[in-house]
Amino acid sequence: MTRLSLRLRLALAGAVAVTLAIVVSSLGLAALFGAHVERRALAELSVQLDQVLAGVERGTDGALELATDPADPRFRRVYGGLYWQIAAEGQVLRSRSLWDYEIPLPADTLGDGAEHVHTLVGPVDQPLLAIERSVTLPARLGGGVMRAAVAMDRTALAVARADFLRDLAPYSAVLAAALIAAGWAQIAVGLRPLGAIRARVADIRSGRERRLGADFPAEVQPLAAEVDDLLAAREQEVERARTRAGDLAHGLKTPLQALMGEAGRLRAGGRGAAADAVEEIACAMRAHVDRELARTRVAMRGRQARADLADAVAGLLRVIRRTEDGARLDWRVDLPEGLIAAADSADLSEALGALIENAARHARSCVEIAGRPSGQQIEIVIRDDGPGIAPDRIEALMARGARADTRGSGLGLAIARDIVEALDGTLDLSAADPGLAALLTLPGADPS
Amino acid sequence: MKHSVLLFASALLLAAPAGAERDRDHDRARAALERGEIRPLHVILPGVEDRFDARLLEVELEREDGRLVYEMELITPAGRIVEVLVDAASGDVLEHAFEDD
Repeated sequence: MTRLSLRLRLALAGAVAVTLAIVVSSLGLAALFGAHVERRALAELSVQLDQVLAGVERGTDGALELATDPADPRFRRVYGGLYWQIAAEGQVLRSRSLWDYEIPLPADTLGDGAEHVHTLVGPVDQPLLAIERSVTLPARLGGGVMRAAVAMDRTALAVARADFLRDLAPYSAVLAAALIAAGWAQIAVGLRPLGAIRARVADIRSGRERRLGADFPAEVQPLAAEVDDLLAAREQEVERARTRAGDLAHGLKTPLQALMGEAGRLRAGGRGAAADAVEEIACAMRAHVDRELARTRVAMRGRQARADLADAVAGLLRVIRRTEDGARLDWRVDLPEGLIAAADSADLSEALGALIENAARHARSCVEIAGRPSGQQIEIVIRDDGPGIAPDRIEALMARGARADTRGSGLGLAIARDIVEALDGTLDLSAADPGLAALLTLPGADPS
Repeated sequence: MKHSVLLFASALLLAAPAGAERDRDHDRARAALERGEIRPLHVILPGVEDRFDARLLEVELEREDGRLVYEMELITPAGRIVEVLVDAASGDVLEHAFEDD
């Protein structure tokens, strides 16, 4: 199971929180708006109620009646949305808008003058917002007590609230989107140090850095410190292992030397075949020991090393020309200035030396050494015009500990390859026409 | 005799302001409803509104040929005004006419 990324987690949590907050605040605003609308409606009803009360008179037949209808036309239209009703002296007066309906007023006893707010049932079963008031009539009208109520459709208020919510929705959505986007930006900024850690780890892998260091935010620093401690512990372990391997190789050198001496004594004693066999075995063992020592030496050195290719080749040629093979050959060197390999110069010399020595041994008349930069890498080709090696044998030759001939020339190639690989480079052998070409690729040093 | 009473009544009706008469028809409707002579408007109205796909503008209660009828004016969403005569006792639509027909 793959875990949600931190970014996604934070973004999702943020989006959910923002959405919830916006929804809740929108509903809250709508509720506020609804309360406001209802207050306005009650204020209007209060005015209407005053108008109704002002119109109460006693008619020619002596009964109470509303001599002056309130001005609002909604009172006169059937189911018009605004209603009044008066109960006095056992009779009920109603607005025409109620038509054949009588509002069932609640049976509470009203304190004189106090306005009561009710939610009642309207003529078409709709909820009504009503205010009701108990009034004592003047002596001219008989001085009795009457209850008067005006009411309006509550539906209109609900519709107003719903409309408000609908009008609010697009703005809320835009606001939510903006907040979510801002949250995303925050996350991107906040998580940037993690990217820095990844880059630093890559630097450690490539050898440009040795530790993550201490310049991270407080939340990330403990992790960086742990990683650094781990790196230090690993380094020590590797160091110890290398030392042991080196000690082992060193320890084997002297006994091997002694073994070779024993082989010489065998030969002197006339047992040449046995001596050859012992020598061959001892040589193979020494090859392993030499390779291990070379590898240990390379690994001990840091990766900050720099070696000038032209200098290394010039130094090697000075030596090789003094040998029997080197003196008879034509050495063609084509190395531009400023080819710097990220390698210790001793390692570079050892690897190149093995290849040059091998070329010198097999070349007929000349050896070509050419180099050129290739991106971050440096390519070096060493070619001889000797008999070459069949392609199917090249692979076997490069195998660990393999030998091209009984004279042990393959050993040099294998050492060269070990060193080159320890330097993060590659070594390829290919058949040239004529001879053998060794293509060496080494990491170039950072320009500085 | 009966005739003269009717005439007298009509004269009274004519003499009274039309608005006042109209204003009282809801009280007559209430009285008729309480006597059980008619069905409540809010029971009849939804059927009529559905049938003509129209909204109520105005209603009057009239007595025609001895029976109580609702004289309704409705308006359709397209803006046509429909006049409908409904039997107040049964709720049946007696006749209807589009006002601009």
